[in-house]
Amino acid sequence: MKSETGFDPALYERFPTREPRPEGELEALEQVWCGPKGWQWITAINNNYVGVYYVGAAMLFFVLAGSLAVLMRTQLAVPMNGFLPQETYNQFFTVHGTMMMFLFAVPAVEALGVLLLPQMLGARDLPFPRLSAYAFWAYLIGGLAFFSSLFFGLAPDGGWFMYPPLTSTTWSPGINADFWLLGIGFIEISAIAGAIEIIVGVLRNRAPGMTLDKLPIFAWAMLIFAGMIIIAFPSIILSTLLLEIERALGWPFFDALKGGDPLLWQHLFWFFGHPEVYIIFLPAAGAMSTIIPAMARAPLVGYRLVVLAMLATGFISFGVWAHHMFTTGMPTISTSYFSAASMAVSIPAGVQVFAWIATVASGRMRFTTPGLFVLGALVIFTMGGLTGVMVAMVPFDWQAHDSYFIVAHLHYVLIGGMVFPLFAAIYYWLPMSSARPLSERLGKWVFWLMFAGMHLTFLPMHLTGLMGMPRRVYTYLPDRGWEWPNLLSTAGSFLFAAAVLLWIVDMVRNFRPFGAREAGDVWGGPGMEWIPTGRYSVRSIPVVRSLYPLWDQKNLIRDVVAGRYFLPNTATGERETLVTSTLNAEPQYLQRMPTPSGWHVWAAVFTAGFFLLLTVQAYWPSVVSGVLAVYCVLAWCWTLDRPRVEPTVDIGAGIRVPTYVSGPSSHGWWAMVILLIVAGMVGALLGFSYVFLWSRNPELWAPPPGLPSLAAVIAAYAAAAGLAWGACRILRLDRPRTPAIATLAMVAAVAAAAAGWWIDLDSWTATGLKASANTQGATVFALLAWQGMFVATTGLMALYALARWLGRQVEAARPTTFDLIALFLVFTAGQGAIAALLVRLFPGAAG
Amino acid sequence: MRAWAWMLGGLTLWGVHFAGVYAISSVGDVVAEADDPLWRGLALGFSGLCVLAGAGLGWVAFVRRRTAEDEAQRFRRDLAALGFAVAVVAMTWQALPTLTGH
Repeated sequence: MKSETGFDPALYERFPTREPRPEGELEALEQVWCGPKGWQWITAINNNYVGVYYVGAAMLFFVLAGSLAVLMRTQLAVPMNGFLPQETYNQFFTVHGTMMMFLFAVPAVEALGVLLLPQMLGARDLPFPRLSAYAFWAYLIGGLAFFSSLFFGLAPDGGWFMYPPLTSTTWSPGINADFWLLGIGFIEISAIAGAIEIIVGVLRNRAPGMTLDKLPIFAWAMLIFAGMIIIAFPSIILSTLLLEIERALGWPFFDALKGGDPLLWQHLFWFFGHPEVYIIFLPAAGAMSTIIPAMARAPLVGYRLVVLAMLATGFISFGVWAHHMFTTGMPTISTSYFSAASMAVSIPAGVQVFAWIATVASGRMRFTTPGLFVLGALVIFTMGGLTGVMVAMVPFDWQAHDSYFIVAHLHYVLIGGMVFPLFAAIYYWLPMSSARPLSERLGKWVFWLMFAGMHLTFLPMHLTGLMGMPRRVYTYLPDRGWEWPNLLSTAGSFLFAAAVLLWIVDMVRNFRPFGAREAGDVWGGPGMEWIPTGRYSVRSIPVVRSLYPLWDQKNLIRDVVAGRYFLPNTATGERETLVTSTLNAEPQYLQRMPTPSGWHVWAAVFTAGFFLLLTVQAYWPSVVSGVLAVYCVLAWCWTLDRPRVEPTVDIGAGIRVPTYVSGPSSHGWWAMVILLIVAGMVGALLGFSYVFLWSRNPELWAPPPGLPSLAAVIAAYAAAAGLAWGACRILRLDRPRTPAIATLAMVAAVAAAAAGWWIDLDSWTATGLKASANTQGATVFALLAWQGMFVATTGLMALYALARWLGRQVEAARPTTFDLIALFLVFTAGQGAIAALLVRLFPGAAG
Repeated sequence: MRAWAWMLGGLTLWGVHFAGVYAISSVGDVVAEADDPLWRGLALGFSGLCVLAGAGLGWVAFVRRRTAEDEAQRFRRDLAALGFAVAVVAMTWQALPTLTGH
């Protein structure tokens, strides 16, 4: 095999090693990776714990949101029912949809990734375990606060997609809508944090030899899923920010009276909202593609085509957002492009469905509970997909839009495409996590009740929709032919609820603190997650030679458990894992992992506090909470770029790798680049918003400031980028004074960036443009505010760099901190320059 | 990065094509009408270029997959070749509304 990094693949032949392992090696490993005790359960960062917490929290939100659904169905059981008042019903359907999409579906699959990926990839842990733990706590606190708003009558009531003008202050004057806007914006931060963890984990923490053609299909799905989050979620962050700013400060983005356009919200929301469906579906599909081969005892048919289909789904899903907007009066030719893409996206989904059917047909399918759930998912998802092709056709969509037909369609897609696969995954992988399988007898009851309940609830809704029943109505008149279908739907929802209740009983029984806990690989699964593990994940990191290692690599479990592969010990006496190359997974260096501490938990608590206090308009306490959150994050960062230990260590069979790497090869660099892609997406979408709003009312646009100020802005940002880059070069010279000079250069770079921003702001203010006057003012000052936030962050980074220099933590031997600050600064400078060029040159003086 | 860019080249090209035809029709809608013949012609020309680029790169990809040195490289090249093939079909499909004007 051709080497990607200079590593000689022939070295793999040294494994499994034959020499006896030294005594005490396993004990040392266990001690380093010891489990939490008492309050340490809260500060745990090991994926074995955080993954379980995460899945548990997601299922809690599923049950809570599902309970709201049952209450709504009870209200709709008969016409003119008075079980729920209209206002409460509006809050329930908004919170139900929001929780299912934001607090259950995405976090549940992300949680599954955090739990399963380390073992599947043969890593000790994912590269940023504390980030995962932070994401979890932020999500849990934010989610519980969001749900609790129901008990105070403060829950949002504008529907899960919160269209303005309904959600503007005119029509939603209280703070209910703010709960949604700030709460969801906050929770999405946690989703993005999880996505960064997953991308870097899948690309950089695979077991040696796990080339892309041997990457487990679930890992492929998680990689694409996380990539889609990075591209799609900035859009919801931006849209919630803009609407909140409009509500709080009166800057008109969506207010038609001041030149805004509510359609901008729809574009931004659905640019996130439709890929969201595939973001949810792809990991579930990855789980299906993993479980079906295990249940059928046959390799997945068409692995390559399935990978391509998942990639194609990821790409095409970004070209279908406007199919939610067919009735808004967009030009016919534009709707046709989206219609064509919407039909096309069914093809990659179809490829996967046929691959699953072919795998079932080629093997000997076992109709166990996970087996039943995957087959149930196949049936339900296909039905949902077919109605999806129907609504992709513009004339049909005009008829079915906003009717119960759409409610039926989306539930078939989401339940078939995510809920059933998730239950299959829980039944399939639980013996691995809890070391006990769930009851097969109860599981089959759960499946059949859920399958029957699902169809009984949603199949009649196609009919009620075609008979004209609109969605989101809290009641309806008799004698319209809607009584029976509605009553049947309500009965079905109770069946579904009974299934979930039975599953909860089984879960409680499973997690009892007594009884035998030695399930093992009960299904004969082929993936590495079935290798017996401790808190350190795998005992030694194997050389992977097959897509199905446990089926094809003889004695793999025995040799891994005996420590005959990579990293059988703790080479540095700390928690650590192997970082490998992206294509061929060749060992590159040893990553020293963080140890548990409370900083991430406090950071999550104070970040949540910042958003919640902001929502209830307690501004000063909110600022204090925000400052504390920043302090906790900085304290957490302080422990990351630690002094070097030995330059290289033996990771097994005499193979030595470095213990510290900086620059583009390091995992920290990758995480920063991905974070900057997120920021760049927000900036790009803000640029789109600027151009879009100009196109609505070009006559409102006033001439920009003169070109001399633009030249000054560009020059300042260029100086900032140059100084930041120079600071890193100076630090690497490794002379006595270089840490001080490099730190000063970095501070100067931040000052230059601040100067660029200030000149830009000042020149626009001098033109007399007001942010609240029209859409030009709103978008220009929004771009400046966004840039200002980045400049302020670089200011914090400069203080941090100074503190590190004062603490003698700046040295040529570990330049990562400076590299990352420089990367962020160069991005900030580039973003500021591009934004300045856009708003001054387009439409320019002619505007 | 080059390997990843090549592997995902076809799908990226499709993404560029989609963004392009949507942008052209949107600009056309601001300047004249979205289905104005001039703007449709422009979109059709853009689609033609993209399809040609996809076909050309796809041909290169199919030739390169025969020279793969190992299974891992072959997998990546297979994905690239299939991606370009899918892109050519998808871009042709998506050019039809421009052609018909609806």
